[in-house]
Amino acid sequence: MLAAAVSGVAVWKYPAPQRADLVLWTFDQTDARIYRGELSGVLGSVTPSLAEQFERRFGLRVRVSLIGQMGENIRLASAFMSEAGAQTPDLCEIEIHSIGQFLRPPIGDVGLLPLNDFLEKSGWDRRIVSSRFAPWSKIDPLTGERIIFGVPADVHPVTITYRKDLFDEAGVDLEGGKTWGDFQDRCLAFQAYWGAHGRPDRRAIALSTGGPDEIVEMLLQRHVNLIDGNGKLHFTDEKLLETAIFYAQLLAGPRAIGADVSSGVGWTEDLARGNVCAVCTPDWKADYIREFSPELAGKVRMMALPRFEDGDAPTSTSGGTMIGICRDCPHPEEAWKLLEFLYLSPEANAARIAAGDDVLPAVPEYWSEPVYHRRDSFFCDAGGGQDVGGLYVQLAGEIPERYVTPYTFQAELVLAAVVHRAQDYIASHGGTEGLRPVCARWLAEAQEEMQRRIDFGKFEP
Amino acid sequence: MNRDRWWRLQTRAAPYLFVSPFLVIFCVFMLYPLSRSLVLSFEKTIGPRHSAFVGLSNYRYLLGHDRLFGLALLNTAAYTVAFLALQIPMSLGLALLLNSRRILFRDLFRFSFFSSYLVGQVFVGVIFFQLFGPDGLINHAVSIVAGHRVVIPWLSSPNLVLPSVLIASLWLATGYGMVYFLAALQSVDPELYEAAEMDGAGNWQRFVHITLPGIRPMLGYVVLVGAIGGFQLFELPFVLLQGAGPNARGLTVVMYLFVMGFNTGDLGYASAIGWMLVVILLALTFIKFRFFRFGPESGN
Repeated sequence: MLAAAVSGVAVWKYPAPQRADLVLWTFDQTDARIYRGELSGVLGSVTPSLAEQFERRFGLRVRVSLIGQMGENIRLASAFMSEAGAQTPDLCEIEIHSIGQFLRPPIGDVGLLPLNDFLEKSGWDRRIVSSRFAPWSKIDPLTGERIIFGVPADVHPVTITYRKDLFDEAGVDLEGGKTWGDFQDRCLAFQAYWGAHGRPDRRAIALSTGGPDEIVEMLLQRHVNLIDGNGKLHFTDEKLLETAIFYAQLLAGPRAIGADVSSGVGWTEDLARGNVCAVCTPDWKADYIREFSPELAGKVRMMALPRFEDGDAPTSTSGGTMIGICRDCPHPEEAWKLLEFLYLSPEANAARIAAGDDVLPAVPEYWSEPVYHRRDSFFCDAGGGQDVGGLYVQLAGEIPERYVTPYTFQAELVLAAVVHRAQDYIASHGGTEGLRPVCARWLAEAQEEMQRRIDFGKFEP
Repeated sequence: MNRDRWWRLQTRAAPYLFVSPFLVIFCVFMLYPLSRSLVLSFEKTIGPRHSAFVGLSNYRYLLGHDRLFGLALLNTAAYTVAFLALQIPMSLGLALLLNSRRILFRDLFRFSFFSSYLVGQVFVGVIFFQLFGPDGLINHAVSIVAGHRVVIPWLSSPNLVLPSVLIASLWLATGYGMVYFLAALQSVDPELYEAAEMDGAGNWQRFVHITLPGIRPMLGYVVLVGAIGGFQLFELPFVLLQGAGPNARGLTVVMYLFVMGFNTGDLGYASAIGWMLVVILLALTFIKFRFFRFGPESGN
């Protein structure tokens, strides 16, 4: 009783925190620290914080809550499901793998506010890379209009980072191969050299044998989404069949050049040890090499992705984050001001750069900043370091559209299972002979299964 | 109101007042969510405003068409069977060993073996995530034994995913089972062993005819708890494999429930998966009570 009385009085007397005018939920630690001004980067700290700058300019107090990604997803899903809406923040940041579930309801019931009007009035719809709206939007089945629920933070073009020192020693010019076929031939020559020089276990490139990441990147390069913006499945697309077989024989049989790497950031160590000698690197991933394997300084180089055929993009995209306004937000105009300030303003870009975050923003007019064009001595080049930022900038304008639906995650699992069966086939038959019709049948079955699943989940209120 | 009536009212109301906090909490946090999820499992829902009663449709799809659920169920059942087949003998063996008076520092060993259980599944997932890496401690040890670099793709090969989860969970739970068996072993009457020894019974005969019947109720309990834990497996593979693992071979029933609820946003279907799990666990409990009965006839 005494403890209850004392703690009750303490709680009663404790000054309540000032009420914020706008509440933002984010799962991203770096973003939260940039907004709050807690991050000291290589180029200095962000002082005053973006939240303070916003408050000074607009007179609105902002509270930034950092919540674990899974926790944020569950809380947002609960808040969106609840009609009370009392626990919903004004704005939220959502990661690309999580957005699908929030886009499942009919457009009028999505828990996020459509931003088309705001984007149009402010002109940002023409200033942001248009393909980056795809993951965060939903096509209205009645009008065909793309309804945008989030503003992208990034572009995340994908390159290949490879061990230039080891390829040079093997006498292989990896960048000379412009197609994936050429690339594979060069990698086989590389492996043959190292097989004869004491490293038969050395593999040319990190590719997942059981996961969908790299094959999805390759498909995007070919402008194939497993499920497109209209909800149409593409498992039986000819390009998908070709890519699945090609990918499988990169991992199994006599022409295998790929291998799995350690989970988490352990892959940087695999690269450093030369277990694998190339890896697909979106811009957010490239920094991990520098951070976790500094001994690779001057030994690695970056190149654009090879293509399958003319018309393919020289890059792909992997990962992404958006910011959106919750539908229950009582002051959407103010929330839009904050969104604009945190994601699109020159101040925000300067703050990110100052904090050492050099991920390319989704606004091309900022790509001319010198920080995105510095020669980086970590990546070797004749001119004293490679301009990797410049390479990313060059590729960023060509990133393919990527759609995310509530069923994308499951579709990727189903595709990974087919590709794995294809690998088993190649391993047991010693090659791809006879695989094409078999794989086509597997993909047709996969499409049928996914279609049944999507149809089952359909709901017309 | 006179004193007698007030007293009678108090006497009559007191039990209800005492149980009311529990009842309120139980109803609000258990009964309502459970019944709501049961109702949800018969509905199709989209967003806060739209739901429709679909009868057994969710269950029909789950059992008749959902290959991923089948895979999740297969993975989970395989894991549970393998887990019990290994955990029970290991825990019992450890308990028998540490029940012997000839072992020095018994308490220290007992605590050491049990302590792994205190850290929880997420922590174990993080530790084994490091250990199972291509150049992690386990591959390193294998390489030393083999005399050359060996890379066993513990977490990236579909065929090794379940064994990896199994190894991690055995490390976590063997000591837990051991504690229960130790308690059961100490309740077996030592005079029975003495009498058997005088009758010329060997170690194996004493184990089969005295120890096993003596610990049978506990054995049943540990099997049941292990089976329930096995079917509820989620955190460990989720952390260890960062999702469903290669080729979805680490997908468990609860993980699939999570995926359907929080990746796809289909709460009705996720509820149906949850209730299917309840049915499975009830069946396991029934089997346990059918085959591991407490009471005199079971030798207890």
